[in-house]
Amino acid sequence: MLKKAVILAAGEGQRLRPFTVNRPKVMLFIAGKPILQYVVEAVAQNGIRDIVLIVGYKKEQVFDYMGSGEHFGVRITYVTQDRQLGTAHALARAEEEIKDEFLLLPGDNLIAAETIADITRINPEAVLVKKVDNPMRYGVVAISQGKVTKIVEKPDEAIGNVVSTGIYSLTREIFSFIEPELDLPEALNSMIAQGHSIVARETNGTWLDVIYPWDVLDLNGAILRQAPAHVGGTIEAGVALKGQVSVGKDTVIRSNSYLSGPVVIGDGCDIGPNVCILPATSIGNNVVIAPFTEIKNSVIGDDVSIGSGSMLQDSVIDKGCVIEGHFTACSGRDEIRVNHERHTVSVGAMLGEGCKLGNSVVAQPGVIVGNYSQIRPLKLISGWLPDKSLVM
Amino acid sequence: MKAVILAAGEGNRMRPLTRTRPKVMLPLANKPILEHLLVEVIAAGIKELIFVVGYHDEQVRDYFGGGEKWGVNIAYANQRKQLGTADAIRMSENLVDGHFMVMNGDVIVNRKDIRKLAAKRGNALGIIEVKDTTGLGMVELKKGKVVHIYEKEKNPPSTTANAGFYRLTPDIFQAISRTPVSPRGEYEITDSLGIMMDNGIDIAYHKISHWIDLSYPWDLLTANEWLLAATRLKNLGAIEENVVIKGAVSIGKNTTIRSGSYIVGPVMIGEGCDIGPNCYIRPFTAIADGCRIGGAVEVKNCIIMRNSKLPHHNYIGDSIVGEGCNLGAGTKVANLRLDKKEVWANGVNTGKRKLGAIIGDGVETGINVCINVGTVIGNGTLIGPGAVASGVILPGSQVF
Amino acid sequence: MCGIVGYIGERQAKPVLMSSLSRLEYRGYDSCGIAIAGSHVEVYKDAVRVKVLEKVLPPMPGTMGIGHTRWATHGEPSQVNAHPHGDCTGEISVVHNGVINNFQKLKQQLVAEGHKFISETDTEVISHLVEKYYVGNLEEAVTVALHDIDGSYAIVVLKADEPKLVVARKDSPLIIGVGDRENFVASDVPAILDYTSRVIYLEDDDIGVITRDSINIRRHNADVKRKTHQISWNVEDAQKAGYEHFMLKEIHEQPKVIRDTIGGYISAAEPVADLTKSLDTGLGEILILASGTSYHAALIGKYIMEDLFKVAVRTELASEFNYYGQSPVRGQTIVITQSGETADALKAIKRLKEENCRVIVITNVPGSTASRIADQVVDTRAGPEISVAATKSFIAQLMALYWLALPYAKVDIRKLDNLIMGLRQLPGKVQRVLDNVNAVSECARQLSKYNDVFFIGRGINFPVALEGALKLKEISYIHAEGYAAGELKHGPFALLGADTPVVAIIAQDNTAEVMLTNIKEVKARRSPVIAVVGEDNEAISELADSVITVPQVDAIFSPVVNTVVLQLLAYYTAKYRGCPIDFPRNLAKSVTVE
Repeated sequence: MLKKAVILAAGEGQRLRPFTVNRPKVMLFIAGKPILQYVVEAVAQNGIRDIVLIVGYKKEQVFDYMGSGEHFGVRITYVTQDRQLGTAHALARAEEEIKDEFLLLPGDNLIAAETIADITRINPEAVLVKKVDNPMRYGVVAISQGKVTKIVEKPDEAIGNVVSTGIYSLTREIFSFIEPELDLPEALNSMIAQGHSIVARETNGTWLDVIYPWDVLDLNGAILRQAPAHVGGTIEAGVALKGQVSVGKDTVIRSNSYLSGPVVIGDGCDIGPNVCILPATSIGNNVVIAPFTEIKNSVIGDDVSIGSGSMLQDSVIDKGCVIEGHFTACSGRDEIRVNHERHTVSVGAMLGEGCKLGNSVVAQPGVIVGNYSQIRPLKLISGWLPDKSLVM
Repeated sequence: MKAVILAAGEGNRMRPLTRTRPKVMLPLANKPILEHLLVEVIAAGIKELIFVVGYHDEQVRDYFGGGEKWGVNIAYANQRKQLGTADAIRMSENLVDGHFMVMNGDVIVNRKDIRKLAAKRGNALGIIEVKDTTGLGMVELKKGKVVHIYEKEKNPPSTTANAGFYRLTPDIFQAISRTPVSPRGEYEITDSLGIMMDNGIDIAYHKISHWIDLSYPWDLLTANEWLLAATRLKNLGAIEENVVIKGAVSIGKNTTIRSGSYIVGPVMIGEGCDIGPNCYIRPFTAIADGCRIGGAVEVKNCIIMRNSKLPHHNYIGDSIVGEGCNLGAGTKVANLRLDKKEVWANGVNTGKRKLGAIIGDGVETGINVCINVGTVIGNGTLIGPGAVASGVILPGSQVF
Repeated sequence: MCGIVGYIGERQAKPVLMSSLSRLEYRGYDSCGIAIAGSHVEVYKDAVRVKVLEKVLPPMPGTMGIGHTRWATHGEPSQVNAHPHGDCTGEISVVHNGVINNFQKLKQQLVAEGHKFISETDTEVISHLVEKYYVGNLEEAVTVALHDIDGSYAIVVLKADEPKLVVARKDSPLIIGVGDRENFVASDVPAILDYTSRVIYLEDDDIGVITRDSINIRRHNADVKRKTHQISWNVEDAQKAGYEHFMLKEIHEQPKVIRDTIGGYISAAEPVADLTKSLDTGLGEILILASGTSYHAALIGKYIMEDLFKVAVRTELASEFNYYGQSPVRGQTIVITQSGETADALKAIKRLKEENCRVIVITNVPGSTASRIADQVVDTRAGPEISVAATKSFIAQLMALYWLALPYAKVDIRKLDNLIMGLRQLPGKVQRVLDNVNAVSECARQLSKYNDVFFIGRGINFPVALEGALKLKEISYIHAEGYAAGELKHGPFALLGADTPVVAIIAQDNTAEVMLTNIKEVKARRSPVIAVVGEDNEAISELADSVITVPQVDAIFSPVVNTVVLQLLAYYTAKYRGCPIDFPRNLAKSVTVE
């Protein structure tokens, strides 16, 4: 039985900028928890309590949150990958910590406990695969008689719709196939070439990747649908809580606010009066939302303040943003460029951390605002604004 | 022969009721779970007990002391960290001599089974046939011996469960010292038994007829019902005129039942309570010491812990009320969904069609508060006048 | 001044004592030792850390013993001066935390009576006194011996063939851990938490006799009953969780500490302490007392309160206040002590209480001595701090001071709203400072080459300069001085030159302009300048050799972000110099001697 899991948590996630400028990808917060916590909890639910976390980019944030793992019922050992040279290189850092067989998982994908159970039932070596609609984003797995014949990373043309979830059960064998600057699929391909057989196990369980900033909203929706609700803090008279609404400790929800679940609100927030929060919204800790504001299907980070009479749809507001009154961020279909890729998505505004917005700013659908930007009152913002932009 | 009783656990599925007490101190029929077990153990002829305590050990120590009240001798061993059953038993190593019994303090087994298991030779364990195997360790038997113990597996090969109830020889301590940490980071006694079996030491078994295993708060209501069925008519209190008492009702001393109260047993009322006038207490209700049940109050199938007040115009059914609660006039608890489906509480299907609320200690409600089916209310929460409470409410919250 | 432990029960005493001692190392670690008693007493001690001693200990069978980890006061750290200390017969053994004022006189007397002293410590007189008065009963001998002693003490005494420990305390902390057929003694709760969560706090002048099965406490020759407290916290498995040092871990915990601390205050929705009396009666006098790093928090508190209340606030070092009879205030006294056990602070509180002053204590340890004797307690939620250099507890103290002051601020409601909003934004701002580690680390690399460093600041950032200098000297052993920037010209200029770098803290308030002038003065003396400054301050970047930028905050909150920069600067400088960061030489976490 597998007793150890190695979780890759070193990556930055370039395409998720601005949200990953100041944090590793695994520390993206969704519904009040970083993605990594969902992975660790899913692993723990499968009875694996010994976890090696491979950290690198902004690793202190992982230390600060995960600690020694006590709070999550696991024991965490940290291994540092100083330079991000691919997943195989990352795994090689952990060689000393691994005695026999182990489970390997990406820390930046949303993985359910049942999904992991699909692979822990069979013996290593094995890879967990899943059918998806858009295989071009992933490593496509060619399978023959239940065994992997080849893994092709992000193929230019479709060779199948079964992709690798990046979840493997492996033995120490793998270490003899790791060469620097390689990704894991290549190491596996050379294992297969040497005659090793790797089982391809298909799963129907939850496995969601987050690649682009707007993926945060999809993940948020997926998690909120299952989040058990609990209410803490102070709920004033005349507050309507519909469906699954969670409110953290020390939070105040003031009168006549209308919260329609699924909604998750963190600790120490001050919300309302007369605020309307609609599905599927998650709000971090220590957030202030002033009266007459409506928020729908959005993710709001820690320490954010949103002024009165604002309207946010399908938006992601990173931590520490201060938004004055009458901010409008409506959703709409738009084409967004990330690096040199073009994507047509339905999304509102995406604000990096620590932005300051004056009164009555209007955000066009799909605007991405870099960290610490400042927008003067009454401005219309659109497109991609780099970090520390100043819109006069 | 001595018995080691494991009473160190918190029982986190029992939250919020276990915030201030260990699981073994939860009351059933006005007595802690552990006392019900103790009574059976004593009746089976065991007078020397070792309680392994940990989480909120002061509650166990204060209540049971040295065992004088029960005419037995109770020694304590402290398990400081929850490191599993084998670790807990190791804590008692210096206190036992020869073979001894081990049982979980949160499972009630009856005296006959204890006596029969104790009469076995060598090492033996109690087993029980179950329908639902989730969360239980299962055993495989062959020729009167246990040949394998499975820890909580998804698809176990049998429906015979390990009842967590053992007769052990001192060999166990040697096996415990060689027991490795399990994947969940604890030392499991089942692993120690596995080591003994590997060394050729036989493990016998005894099939027990009945047990009360408690996982969730609502399991307490089922067990409470079962134990109250044995209530005998007894009155040590003062009963005013025009009180109607039907069936087995036990009333403690210094308790007053005022006029017009209508009580249908089995009901157990503790000491120093003030009941009525004009209240209606229905079957399977256990009211602990120092409670107040006032006028026009209806209570049914409930566990009401010490010093709680349901003073005016309350309805509460199929619910648990913690210590020191005060429900405002007109506060009512719903116990049946409008669609008559099974009630969910804290994200779990309780399997019960009728379930009210699980209310922690020191909860106060204003007048005319409505508490919905399956609501779980944390300790020290305040609910304002006219508010509707539902779902899971964290400790120390305020709902208006 | 040290950590002491004792055990009596069924287990082998040695491993219990060693694990307890390792949890008390924050109280001192220049030497340590244990004594285990059976038919005779075996002692093993040396001037080494607990971990090292553990490796070289011979087998020492026995189920009763005492142990000690030392922070030298009388006599240098050496094997001879390490505790436990014995008498002439070698049958009696004592561990002691505290200071005996009249030990010279007692020693002379005892030597005259023929007792042979081995060490230079004050403690040794206790073992010889107990020997002198011993007539078959250990507790009586200890009771009589303590009559002769003037000073502070927490002691544990054992004797061969007497299966008991005798304990006593006066002005030094001591607790008894209650077990099953075993009992424990320690200076502090964490030492025994692995074994039991039931604790008795001894009071001054208590003398206890502890056996395997019983605890009897006497005070002035009468039996007293002390309450057994249930400790609710678990053993925080002190792990560095990925970090190389506890200090860096604790620096990084600060955003969370700020959130937790203010979250607790905001949810209480009322002032955390009652300052009304001192503000409304017109007495308007506030005195803040503290020592060490807490004193720097006190100085910042002075600026906060004077700014917000427009009244005069006095700050005093607790150690000075005790000896110079300075007049207590008729208004309000605030005492800041991280551990709640600092001897100077406790002495000051006792004196103030005698003068009928109202005392508010800001402490990180609920249930500590200071919190038990104060009129009102403001808890900081920093959690256990293990690194000797205080970081997160300092920031939590600042949060307590802000929240203490804000409800009484004489500012208009708009300004107050802005201040509260500014406070809420602080966790994020501090996180940004932490994320800016590369710039700080680069400055630290340069700083590590020098032997003298000046820190300068003005106004509310003057105490920050003091704190920055303290952190640097504490862990990197570089000579550092904090100065009010305007004071440099009154002397220290003589020391400035190309090999004395200056760290300048510039806030965006009315001191910004004049700070620029000060930096120009410093530059004129060719001193390298590291400037800690708000973002987008271009005038500075042209002037200074290196610039560490911090996020913009209201000037009143600037000490928070600036202090975190200086904590990181000290940490990385010490790291470049290869210093033992979590356990700097000659220092201990909470100082329970004067």
